[in-house]
Amino acid sequence: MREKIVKYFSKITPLSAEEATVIKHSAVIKNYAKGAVLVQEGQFSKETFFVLQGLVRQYNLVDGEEKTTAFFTEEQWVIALNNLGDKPSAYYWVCEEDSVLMLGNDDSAQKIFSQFPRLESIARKIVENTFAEYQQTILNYLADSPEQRYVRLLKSHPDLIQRIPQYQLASYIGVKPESLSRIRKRLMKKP
Amino acid sequence: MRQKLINYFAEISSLSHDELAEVMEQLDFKSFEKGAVLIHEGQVHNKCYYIIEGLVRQYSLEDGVEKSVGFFAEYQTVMSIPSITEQKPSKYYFVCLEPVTCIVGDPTEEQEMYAKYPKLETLTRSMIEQDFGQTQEDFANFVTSSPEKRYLNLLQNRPDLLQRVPQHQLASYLGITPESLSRIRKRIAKK
Repeated sequence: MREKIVKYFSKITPLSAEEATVIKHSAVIKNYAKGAVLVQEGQFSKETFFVLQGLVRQYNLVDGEEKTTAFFTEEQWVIALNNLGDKPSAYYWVCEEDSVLMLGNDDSAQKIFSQFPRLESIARKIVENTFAEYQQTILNYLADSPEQRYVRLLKSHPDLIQRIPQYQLASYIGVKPESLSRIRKRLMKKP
Repeated sequence: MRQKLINYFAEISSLSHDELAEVMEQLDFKSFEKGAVLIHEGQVHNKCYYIIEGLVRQYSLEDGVEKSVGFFAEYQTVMSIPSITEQKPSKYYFVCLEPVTCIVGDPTEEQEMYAKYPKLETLTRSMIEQDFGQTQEDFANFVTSSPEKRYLNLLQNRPDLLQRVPQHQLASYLGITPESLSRIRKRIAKK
C-alpha cells in the first residue's frame, strides 16, 4: 500500500529519496468495513481521504431518502473542506465496500511541508486537480440526462456498475430503479 | 482595492503585508467591461481569472438557448477546466455580468512565482480550498432542494446574486422557467 502511495505522488512530481521516505513513513493508512461512514453531513471533520482500495459513495438525505451524487474509487480523493471557515461537511461519505484509505489532515501535513516544501507543491497540485475534477463532475451531472449520466458512468468506471446496488445507481442517475432497468435494456439493444 | 485584497490574503496566509505588496507588483491585474467574454465556447483557453471585483456568468448555448450553470464573484476563480487540464476546448462561455477586475493567472508560469515566494503556494492552496468548499456546499444544496428551496438557499447564502443577476438567467441556473421563478418569489414575499 505504501509503495502505491509513493508511486501516486511520484506521478505528480518525481520525488527525492528523502521525500519518498517521509511520505512512506508518515502515511496514515486505515481499513474500513463496508458500510463505514467516513463523514456525516453537518459534521465538522478535518480529515481528507485518499482511496487506495475500495469505493466511497457521496450522498445527501432528501426527505429521508438518500440522493447519491458521486462515487470515488482507487486513486481519488475525498475531501471534506473545512480547514478554513469551519464549515460543516456538505455530504455523507460512506464506504460501499471494504476499503483501504489514506488519511490526512492539514495540521499533520503542515509539519511535513515545513520540512519538505516541495511536498506542499504536490499538495497544491492535488487540490487543484481534485477541484477541477469535481467541478467537471458537477457540470456533467447538471447537463446530462439520466441516460447520459448512465452512459458516462459506464465509460469512466465500467466496473462500478457491478459494484454498487441498483437502487443507488438509480439514485445517482436520477431515476427510479424501474426506469434504470428500462434504460439498461434500451442501451443493450443499441448496435 | 488592492489594500483590501492584501488584507484578505494576509488573513488567510502567513505572508506579511510587505511580502504581499511585493507579490502584488508582479501579478497581472486586468479590468473587463460588462459584457466582455473572458472565455469562448470552443476555445482552448489556458489562462485563469481570480475575481477581485465583479461577477462572471458561465453558460452553454444549445439550439440558441442559454443554460446558465455558474456564477463567479469575489475571491472565486474562473477557468475552463478542460482547457487547463487537457488543452481541450471550453464547453462554456464565461461572460462578465458586471465590470470585472481580476488577476490573470497562467498555470504554466506559476511555478516561477512559487519558487520565489513559497508561502504564496500555501496561499494559493488555501484559496482553492475555500473555493472548493463553497462549490461543495453549493452543489449539495442544489441536489437536495426543490426549486423553491434552491431559491431560498440563494437568498440566504448568496443574496447579492439575486440583485446582480437578471431574472431569466437566475431561473435558468435554478433549472426552472422565469414564470416559475416569479411565482416562487411572490409566494416567498407573502410569507
